[in-house]
Amino acid sequence: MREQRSITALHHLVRAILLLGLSILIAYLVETNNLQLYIGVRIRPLVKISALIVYALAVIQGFIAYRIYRGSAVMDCDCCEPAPTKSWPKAGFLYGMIALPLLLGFLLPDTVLGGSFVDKKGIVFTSSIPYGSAGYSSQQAAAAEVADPPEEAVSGKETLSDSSEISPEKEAPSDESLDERFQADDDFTRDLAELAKRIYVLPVIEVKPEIYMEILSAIVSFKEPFLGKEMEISGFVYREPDLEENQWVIGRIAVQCCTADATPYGVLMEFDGTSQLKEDAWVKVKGTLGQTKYHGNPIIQLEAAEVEVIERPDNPYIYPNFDFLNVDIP
Amino acid sequence: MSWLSSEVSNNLLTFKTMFISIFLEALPFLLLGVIVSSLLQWFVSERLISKMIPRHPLLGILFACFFGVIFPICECGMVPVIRRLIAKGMPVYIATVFILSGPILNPIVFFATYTAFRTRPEVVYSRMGLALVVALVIGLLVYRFIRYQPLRFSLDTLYEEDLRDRSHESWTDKLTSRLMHLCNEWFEMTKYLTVGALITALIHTFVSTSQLAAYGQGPVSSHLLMAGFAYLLSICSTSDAFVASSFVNTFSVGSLLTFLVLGPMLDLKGTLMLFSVFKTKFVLTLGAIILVVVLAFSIGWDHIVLRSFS
Repeated sequence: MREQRSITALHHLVRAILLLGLSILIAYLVETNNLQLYIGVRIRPLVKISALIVYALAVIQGFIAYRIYRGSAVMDCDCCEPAPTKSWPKAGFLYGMIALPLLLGFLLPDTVLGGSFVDKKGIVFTSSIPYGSAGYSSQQAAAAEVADPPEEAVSGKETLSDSSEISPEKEAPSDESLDERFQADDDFTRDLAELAKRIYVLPVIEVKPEIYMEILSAIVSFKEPFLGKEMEISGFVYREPDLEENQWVIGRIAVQCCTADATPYGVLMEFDGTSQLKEDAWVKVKGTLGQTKYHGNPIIQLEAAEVEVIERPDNPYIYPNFDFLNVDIP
Repeated sequence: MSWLSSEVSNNLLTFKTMFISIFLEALPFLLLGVIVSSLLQWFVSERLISKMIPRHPLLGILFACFFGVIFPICECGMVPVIRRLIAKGMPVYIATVFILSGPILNPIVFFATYTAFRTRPEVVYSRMGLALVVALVIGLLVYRFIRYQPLRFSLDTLYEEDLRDRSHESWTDKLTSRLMHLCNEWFEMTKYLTVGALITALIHTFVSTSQLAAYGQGPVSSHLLMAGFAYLLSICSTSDAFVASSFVNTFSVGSLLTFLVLGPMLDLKGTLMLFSVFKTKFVLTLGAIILVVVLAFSIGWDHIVLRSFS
């Protein structure tokens, strides 16, 4: 009887330790600022609250273990599945499965998804950014060879006739000319048009990480006025196998809830001194916007003038921002 | 990590990131589910449940379809709640409809899909409509054809402790014992979640989705491929619309609909979780029914409606 009791107590102790380990893992990730490498901005507070609840459960389990060991516990509960007094192999499997995330979490270093992840998912060239606007992804490369070639849609527009207008103007353009240039049909494109107007008047368009996808969406949706403008963007260096010698991709990974929904987005960059660039290195690039073709489809590209290697930012991932008009644009 | 070749260590680290991420992301919802399950146990009687559910099967199924509106949570949180409700006398076909429709027919998912497909509202309404129809049809099929008892545990043993006389115990003992059951349930559910997260993480690490896109436009192959993606990738229903929108230029809109309707109803992680409630035979049968019904409706909808508009 006494032996039976200490076995039950031991089960509860193991559970208390596992729960404690889990809450410590989350606390550790919060403390080292690495939780953001796993969990998107929306879910993060929920995970932090969970750590507190798991910690409370650990305390309760420890208390139960102690009471059972002392024999003062009334409940000799082994009713529900899995009862703590089950056979050791079965219980061992249960505890092993729950210990696995803890072991991996504590023993392996936290990493940022980069090139080898993009290899698997295929980069999405900035355009079809979550708003379903026109664009093109490298995944379609394979598709294009099988299906009919995609229609020439976006590139068909005439750009030569008013090429003088394309180059950035010295003086701030009037509101009317802006309105004319950025016309919108529905509410959402109206918001994008508003953003496009705001960034159009800047001497250098800085693609801020907070509204990374939105700025690029605005540029791609109203492509022509932006050709020839200066843009500054940061991201990691990625190399598509079928690019030209001097072409690189500046990539960024967008995360919604967790990395299971991580999607890599990128801007094509042309730079002649690229041999010094290493894959997965973080860079800040300043250059001129232009367009090129990728597997027959027009995409925007950045002709880089300055490429500067930078430290990886604290928060390497990007998130869609529904409130993008309220973000300050310098 | 220098003792491993760089490819192996890259894959290992990607796997770790995926695994921990999926596990941690599901944790709050699983905890919520387990807590709600405990609250149901304490405060909601069998009588109340049977009074709430309409007698007529069709009304009952319709009721279940819209339950997600008041309980907007995805399958990780749903499973412990469902298990408790079945134990309290909810019919299995109602529970099935609840599991299928809850993760799609709720305001959070509607909003997420709406923002991801802002320029294509037809996707949002098609998703919601198809999910409703599919859940209804499957509910009726389960009601009509599943004649055996599909639960993994017999109802008598599942939550047996409540049958005992507890009147002699002090309230602290009752509370401790209930909290202990909450822990037990969490451990049991987490076991299934971890196995699900493990396999899902392996797939994210090793399966290259970019290679498969060649079949993205075929009238039927695109649907099959998207159904496979939805099953294997096991993305939460609140964020799958954004992943789907990144496929928008590679895959036909109709096949994205398959992805958006099938994924929340049937995916790898969810299948593992279902094993904690139902017998293997029932889970496999249900999986097959879901696959066939979703594909039939979404291919039909794609060819009759979506393609004729665009």
